[in-house]
Amino acid sequence: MALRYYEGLWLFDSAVAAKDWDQLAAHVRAILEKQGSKIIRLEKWDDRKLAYDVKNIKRGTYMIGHFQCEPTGISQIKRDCQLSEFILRNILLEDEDLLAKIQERAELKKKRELEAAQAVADGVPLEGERERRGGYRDRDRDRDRDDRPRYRERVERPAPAPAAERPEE
Amino acid sequence: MAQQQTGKFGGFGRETRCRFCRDRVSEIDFKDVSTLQKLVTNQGKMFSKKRSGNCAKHQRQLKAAVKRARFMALMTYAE
Repeated sequence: MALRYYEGLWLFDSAVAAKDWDQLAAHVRAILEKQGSKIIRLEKWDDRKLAYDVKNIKRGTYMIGHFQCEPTGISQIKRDCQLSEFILRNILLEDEDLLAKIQERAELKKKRELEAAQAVADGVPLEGERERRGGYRDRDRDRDRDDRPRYRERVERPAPAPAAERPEE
Repeated sequence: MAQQQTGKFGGFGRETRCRFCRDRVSEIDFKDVSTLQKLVTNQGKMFSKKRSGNCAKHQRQLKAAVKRARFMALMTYAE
């Protein structure tokens, strides 16, 4: 069967990654190569604070990998990643036009950086800035609940007129 | 009488309201957290299609991308 392109992202504990990154890289490489995959790229992607704690770990290091593999081998790779005690989270995505997309993303990133530099030069406020200042008004009837102000000052309304005083219909 | 539409998103030769179509993105990248973060609320809930302005195709892709980013602890499930 033909080899397919895959993209993988692995999450490790930052403390472990800082100590012996080479060992972790070798560990992932071994998992991939056990199924006869051809590795195109395997490197550190980012080290950041996690959005939520994973196994009581607050900081994580990500490893990104692009590789070619037989579709039959991918389930074993997934299983090995699940069983590994170093890998906290992993994701493997099959992508036919992976190489084209990598290039596209790089170009888009470059374009965004240029636009951002231009915006700074022009003095354009950041996206979402208007919202944060509280000046955003959305007239959509089905706007998202989160957009509504959380607190609103209580307005004292005059008491409704007694029913008797209303004109008869 | 139909009112003549003017402005960025109205009238002939208008620009699309979908930011991903404008950038000609073939598939939304779940690792691009700064972009995804603009399309969710402070609590981490996704904006509606009406609010985000995305086309149906990219809104579906965004849904998948946000879910992947959440699983990898790049984004929050809830604040």
